[in-house]
Amino acid sequence: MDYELLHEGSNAVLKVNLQRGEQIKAEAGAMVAKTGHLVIEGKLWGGMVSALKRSVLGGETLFFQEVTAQEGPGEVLLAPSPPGDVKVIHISGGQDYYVKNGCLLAAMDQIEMDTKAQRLSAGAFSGAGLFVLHLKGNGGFAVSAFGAIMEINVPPGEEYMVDNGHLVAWSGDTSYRIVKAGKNWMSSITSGEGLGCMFTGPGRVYVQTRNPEAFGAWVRRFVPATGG
Amino acid sequence: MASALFDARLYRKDAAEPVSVKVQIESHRLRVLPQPDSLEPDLELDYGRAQVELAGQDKNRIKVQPLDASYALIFQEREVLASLALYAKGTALAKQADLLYQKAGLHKRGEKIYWTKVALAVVLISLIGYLSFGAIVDAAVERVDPSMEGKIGEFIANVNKWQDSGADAERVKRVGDKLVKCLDKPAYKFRFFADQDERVNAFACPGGIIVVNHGLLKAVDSDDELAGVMAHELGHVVHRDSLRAAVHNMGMASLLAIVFGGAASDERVLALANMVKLGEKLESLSFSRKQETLADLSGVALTMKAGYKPEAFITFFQKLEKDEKNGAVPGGESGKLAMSLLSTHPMTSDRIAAIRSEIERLQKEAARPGLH
Repeated sequence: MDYELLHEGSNAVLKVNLQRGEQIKAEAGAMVAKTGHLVIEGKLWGGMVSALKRSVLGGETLFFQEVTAQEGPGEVLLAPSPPGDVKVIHISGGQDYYVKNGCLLAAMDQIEMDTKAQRLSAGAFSGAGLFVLHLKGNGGFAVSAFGAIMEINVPPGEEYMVDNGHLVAWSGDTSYRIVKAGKNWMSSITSGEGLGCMFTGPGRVYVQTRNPEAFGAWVRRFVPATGG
Repeated sequence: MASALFDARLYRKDAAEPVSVKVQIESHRLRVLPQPDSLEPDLELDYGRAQVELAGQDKNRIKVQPLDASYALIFQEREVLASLALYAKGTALAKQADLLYQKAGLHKRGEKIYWTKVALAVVLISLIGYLSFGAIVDAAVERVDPSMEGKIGEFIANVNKWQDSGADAERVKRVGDKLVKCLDKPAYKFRFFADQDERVNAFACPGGIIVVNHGLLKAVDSDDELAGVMAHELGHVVHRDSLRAAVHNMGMASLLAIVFGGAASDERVLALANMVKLGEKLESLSFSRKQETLADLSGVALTMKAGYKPEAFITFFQKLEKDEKNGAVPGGESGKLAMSLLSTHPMTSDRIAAIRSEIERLQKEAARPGLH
């Protein structure tokens, strides 16, 4: 199996070439096109309980699609619904990642997924939700976001703050705590930043350069309040 | 003397990716052995310049790094802490490792306790919500202005095909208007409709909409009986029972939206009306015994004021019950048709007694000179 990103940026597409017998899992509705003989099936990834947890509690789709090359090699093109970038994250040697619900586009190779509950403070204020996806195993998985995706390495002994609403994925070796973005509450509110997630190194964080909720609020300002 | 080899990830300050390494814990230092095919040099970390702490979002991994944090080792096996406590004995690092070893063991249990507490809190909040549901409904109803309730009624009347002309509608309107004239400063603009439905029923929608079925109009022998039923329904509107019952079915989220979001704009009226419509079959709104009794009492007073015979209300229901037992209602229809009204308004002996005593009280009051 090999994969490449096409049209990187706001119109990114993930192209995966599958050899006979190989398969990938992708977010429901993510397929753009595929070789004719590739087979698509809706699957409850991780079993019924995990899928229900993911769907009911995390707002992720109940089913994932499994694309399999049963009869021979083929390719599949995958893209997320919002305009935004796609990045492939590779893990091995016991590494794991947490991914915000709705940001997982596809999982290739031997990637396993389950749903993890964050602590209430993190769930309520990180912008990632109470339940996040936990990915481990060996191989690559693709995350999608709104806007561009930036990769931030947090070196040992250092901290890095990400505004809530911009989180996409973070490595399992790092941890974060919810902090005021400003020096005090007043400056946090007046600066318009409110709360943020302070990550402790070592580890890596992927952020989206646009906040979908903030974008929604911005668009609403231009939508007439009453019809007609 | 040295420990077994532990797997770890080595993060260097200047490297983008971590590398997998093996680590051996010796009596004075910790030795990092890169993979055989790696170009990484061996690393040694003296216990005197090392620090250890729990890492990861769930605090389920162990981080060891030099004081200058030029690199960090991440372990996933808790046994690393036990080895550090053993091999670095006597150092501050060993003491810290021993504390963390116990903390890491407690963490798993702590996690369970934490989520049990969260589950209990959710159950408790749900229970409080359930028990205070009635109070929240009342608070939501209080927030709805009668003029807005009128708009909801208008919306419901517009989407239903009830008749406001023709013989049935004229009769309902005539009796209804006569009753409304006797109301003291009504907050609603009452509108009366007839429906072709053959079931013996009449119902009130929020905002002053009263609908009487053709089946009921056939079943009543006089305007007195019709006035009794309609005055009772008017009572439900005036006491806001119809609105309360509809709001009761709208769900907690909608209720809180009314309580905290105010309830004034036209969109909100539309949304509310939609919810009322979706959430409830208007013909079968059921009320509490207390609400029925209050509607009975105000209905009796209203029929008397309007010059109708108040006993007709009781005799009409008794007639229906008798017909239902006999398996038929006037007009030869199936006895089951009477069920609509009887099922939502069971005429119990308590109710009959309460209505009779109210009639007597009002008649005595009227007979006393100079009271009104």
